[in-house]
Amino acid sequence: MDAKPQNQSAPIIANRPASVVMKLARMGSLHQSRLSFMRVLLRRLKAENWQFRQVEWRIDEQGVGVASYEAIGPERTYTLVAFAHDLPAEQRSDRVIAEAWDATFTLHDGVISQADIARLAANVPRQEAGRISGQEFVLSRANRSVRLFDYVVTCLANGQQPDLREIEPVGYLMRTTAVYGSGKFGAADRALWADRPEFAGSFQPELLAVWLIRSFTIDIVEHMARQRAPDRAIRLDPDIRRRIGVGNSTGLGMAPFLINHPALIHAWINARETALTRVRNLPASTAATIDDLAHLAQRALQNAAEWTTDSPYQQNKTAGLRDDLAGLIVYLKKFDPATDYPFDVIYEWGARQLSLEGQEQLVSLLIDSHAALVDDLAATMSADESAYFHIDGSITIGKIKAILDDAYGWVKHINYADDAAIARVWYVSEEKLEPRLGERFHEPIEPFEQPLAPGRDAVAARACLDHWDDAKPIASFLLAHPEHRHIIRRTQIVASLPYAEIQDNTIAAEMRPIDLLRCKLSFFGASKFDPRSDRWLRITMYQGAPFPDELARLDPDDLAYPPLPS
Amino acid sequence: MTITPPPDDARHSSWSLGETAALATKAARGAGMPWGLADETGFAVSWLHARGIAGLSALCRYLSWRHNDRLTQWPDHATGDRCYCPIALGTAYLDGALPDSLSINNIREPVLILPFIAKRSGARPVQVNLDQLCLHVSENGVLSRYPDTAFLLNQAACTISPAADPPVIPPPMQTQRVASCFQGCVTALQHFAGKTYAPATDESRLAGAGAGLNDND
Repeated sequence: MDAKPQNQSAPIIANRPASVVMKLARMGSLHQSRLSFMRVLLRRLKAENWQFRQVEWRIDEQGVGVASYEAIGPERTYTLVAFAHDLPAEQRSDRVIAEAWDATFTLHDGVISQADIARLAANVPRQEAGRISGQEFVLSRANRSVRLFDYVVTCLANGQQPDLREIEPVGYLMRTTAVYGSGKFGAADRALWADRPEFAGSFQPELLAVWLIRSFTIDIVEHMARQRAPDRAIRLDPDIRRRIGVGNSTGLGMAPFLINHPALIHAWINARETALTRVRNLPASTAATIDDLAHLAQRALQNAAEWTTDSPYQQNKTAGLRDDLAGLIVYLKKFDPATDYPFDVIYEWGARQLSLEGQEQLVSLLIDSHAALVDDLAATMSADESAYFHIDGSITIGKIKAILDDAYGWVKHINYADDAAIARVWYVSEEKLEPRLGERFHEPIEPFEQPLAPGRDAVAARACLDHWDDAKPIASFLLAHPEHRHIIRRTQIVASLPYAEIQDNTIAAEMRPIDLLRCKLSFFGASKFDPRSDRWLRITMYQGAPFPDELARLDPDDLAYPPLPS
Repeated sequence: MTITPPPDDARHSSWSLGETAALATKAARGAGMPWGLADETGFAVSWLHARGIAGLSALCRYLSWRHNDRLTQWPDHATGDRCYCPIALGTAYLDGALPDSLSINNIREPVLILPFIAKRSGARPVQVNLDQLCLHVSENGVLSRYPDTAFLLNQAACTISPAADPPVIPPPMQTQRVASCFQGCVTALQHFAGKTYAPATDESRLAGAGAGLNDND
């Protein structure tokens, strides 16, 4: 490490460049970390000593009715309203396009009135077909895991605790199939609550709702057990209960989000990369810190061991991850803590030795083992896209050409004249109003294409600009060529926000949408990604996390990895 | 499961600005605008409604009028009795492709150009004349002696000039909601937005979202 100057004030290792980070294969290998939004939320709720209580429980013996939960913070109170339904099994679909669910939810701003509950009862169970108001921040719904829900009810009704070996492979009693926020279906716009400190960062109202939904899933399973055997039923043991999270099924609806929110995706990736860079720039460490990192790697290996999926794609990746973590643990046990810039050495070892899954798991472990160094970055993980919306028309065409050549230099490796490079079309289906991915050369969908192929569009704009004088302002080009306006807008954004663009072909024949989904869900804090095809996957949220009644005495960050078997 | 129909107050509930902007964008695209201009349309309509001005009505009228084949190209080149597109012209003005002071013979639904003028002028109001209607416009909003509905001109000559004695435009009462009375416009714009949706085929039903595995577990 002789080449590293001993100057602590100036980082000597820079953030990893976008050309390394913003590749779909790597983005599809990201893991949760302490910068993930669920963990950021729980840290804040704990630090601010939020209080939680079930306010209403009007659920009948069939499990049908309404419940509500208050989250009471230093300044404001929020109420989760849950509507429980009796859904016939044949209607239970994870697809976002379903029309009925086992339970439906909304997060209301403030303490709720009976009049508001009545208003919501007429709308929330209808989900997209209903309307919520500016007093609501989130609209969501969930279905039971039939297998685990019935098993846990039966166990508790028989006076027995369920077996963790049954719980771990599923990890949830209910899975959400959509969690809508930010102005959707009448909900409050983000601008209405963006300046509330409790919602600093991203997706905090949505994830508060999901965390409270988790409590509801426990309450209803215990309720059903009591209905079945009032004298014999018991409650879940807290240690077993904690291994139950909330499932989530996510499909293509989420995939375009990363492309449509360039400033936000930059903010997320930049925070994570900055955290890694800070850790790599630490000039020294201690034996205890290296031991802690090795211990955390063992818990990550435990998580990988519990991670089951039917997807051959993910099975391969998870198997590689287990090997990687086993190798990392051996490496760390032999590692000399007196090494200069120890975490950079460890990172560089990983970059050479580990698969992408393993490399990105290592990044999360390095971040997670340095709380004091990285936690402030959580506050930077939001963005106001409108601040980057307007085009600076005075920039010269020569400058735009230079930015295109630089920021979109990666398109040189793609031949867009090749059918396979443009095989896919992102479109919205008339029937379900949801984003879909189709085959350009086999379906009549091209006229409906969404602008989700920035690489291809950058190539087209650059070719058109070739005929224009470098000294002219871009405004004159845009007046004549409005068809290139959207990509010129992106070009200006990427010029200042390098992680704003995915540097891969998003319409290639071999593109896997689940890589986009995995990236976003890892920032949420999801674990145990379970692809069900190349286009949708299941995850578990909050598995292991404390419940509201435990938050004051348990550390949510410590619980983000499963405990080692005793 | 029996679904209870929503009560009247819920059916007539207000809209968020975000979904209003998204609808305007999709409707503009459905009417034939390039995506970049459609995005600007979303901005313009949202900007107007945040300041209490009926952008949805203007857009609804504009897209319906265009639909009658009077104009077929974006951006518009106004010749003879034709009109400029307020979005294409407004965008060019905001980009700086046009001078600060400007006279346009004929612009359709001119209220839609105001957000672009406002954005360019910043905090310092400029004077905008729409035929005989005199307005002052800044990023804070629109100041005039007329009710907002008077802005809804089908078409007008438009002059942008420095305000000789610029009034102080107070910061807008930022309304975050679009009132339920715009339901008619919303329905009409949903019709245009629908043109961006691909009709489903048997193949797309199965393949488009990657179905195939059982959803129940």
